[in-house]
Amino acid sequence: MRETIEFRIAERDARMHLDPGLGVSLGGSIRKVVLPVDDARVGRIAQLHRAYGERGDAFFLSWNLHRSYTEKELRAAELLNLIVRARFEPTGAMCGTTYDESSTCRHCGAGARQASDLVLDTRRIPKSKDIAQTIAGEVVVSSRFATAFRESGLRGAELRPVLHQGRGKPLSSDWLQLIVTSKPRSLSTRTVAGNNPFDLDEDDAFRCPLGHIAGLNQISELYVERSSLDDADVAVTDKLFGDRRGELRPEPRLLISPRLRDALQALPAQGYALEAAHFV
Amino acid sequence: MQRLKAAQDAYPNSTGYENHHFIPLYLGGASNGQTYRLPTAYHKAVTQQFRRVWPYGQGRRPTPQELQKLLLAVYSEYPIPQLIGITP
Ligand SMILES: [Zn+2]
Repeated sequence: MRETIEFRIAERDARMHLDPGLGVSLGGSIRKVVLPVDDARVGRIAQLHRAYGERGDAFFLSWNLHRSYTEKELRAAELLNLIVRARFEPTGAMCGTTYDESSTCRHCGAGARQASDLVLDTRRIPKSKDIAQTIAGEVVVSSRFATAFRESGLRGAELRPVLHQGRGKPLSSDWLQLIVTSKPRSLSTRTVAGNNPFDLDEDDAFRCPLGHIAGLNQISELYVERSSLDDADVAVTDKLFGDRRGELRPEPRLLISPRLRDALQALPAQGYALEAAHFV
Repeated sequence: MQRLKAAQDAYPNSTGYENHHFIPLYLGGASNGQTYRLPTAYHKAVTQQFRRVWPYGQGRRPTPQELQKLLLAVYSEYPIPQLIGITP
């Protein structure tokens, strides 16, 4: 596995502290820098970020970790993290999907229960994708994904109708909502979560006191308890990532079996990425 | 004013106005949060700058402090006209 980290840095700050040849300019004012995680310059950027932070500023504006795998590594994984790449808005709630908030956690906002079919403006779902997710975490799949899922006899999720909110009453659509029904898998404490790779939220500011949230962001690959293994081809993690803010909701991670990976690759499905996940 | 003009040159086919969420929804803005009516071309330019600073759909979130820096970085370069006394 090859892991790189991407930073977006204001050009003004990048020019002051980084080699002019490092990274690429985006529109003149932002510099994108991608480095292997073990590169010495990553440490330098982290140090600058801390120094900027002490005066209430930030050196990098955003970060992202990318993990890439060889075919052989992905084939060898006994469990995979399915990452939905295609995201869109408006969210279900904005289009008329109703949620029951009666069991929502008052600390972290987790646990709202969807109480109606998913209603979306389906024109906003990225075209040509087979799996996509609203910014609120509602996952939809194409009819060809659904057919493959059913025909392969895969287990662990229900596929329910997605309605399109047009001008009048909601209409049926070709999309289906992926609702995971299998038992959630226990996330191991070996999974690293935090605010960013250099700030693991030592104060637990983003961890619910009732234990619903692993952290604001996933930093490492996922580790789950072996005992939580069952025969489902798709499952969610029991702990969530993120927070409730505006339309955003805390979200679990999706874990899939090698059988579902094979079905996705055979389609081939569009709109996702895979990472290895591990049993401990 | 220059920015508005540059945006119109960059997106010559964009006409009319669109509502812009001061905090974009994908960064945790509320759907009923503060919006400003921007010329469509300028709205596109502001949106593009947000996505340069914090790419859309990467499944990660800024802390509220990090978000403040992002907003400052974007709006210092692409100000909301109404906030600096310009009627777009
Ligand atoms: Zn909670």
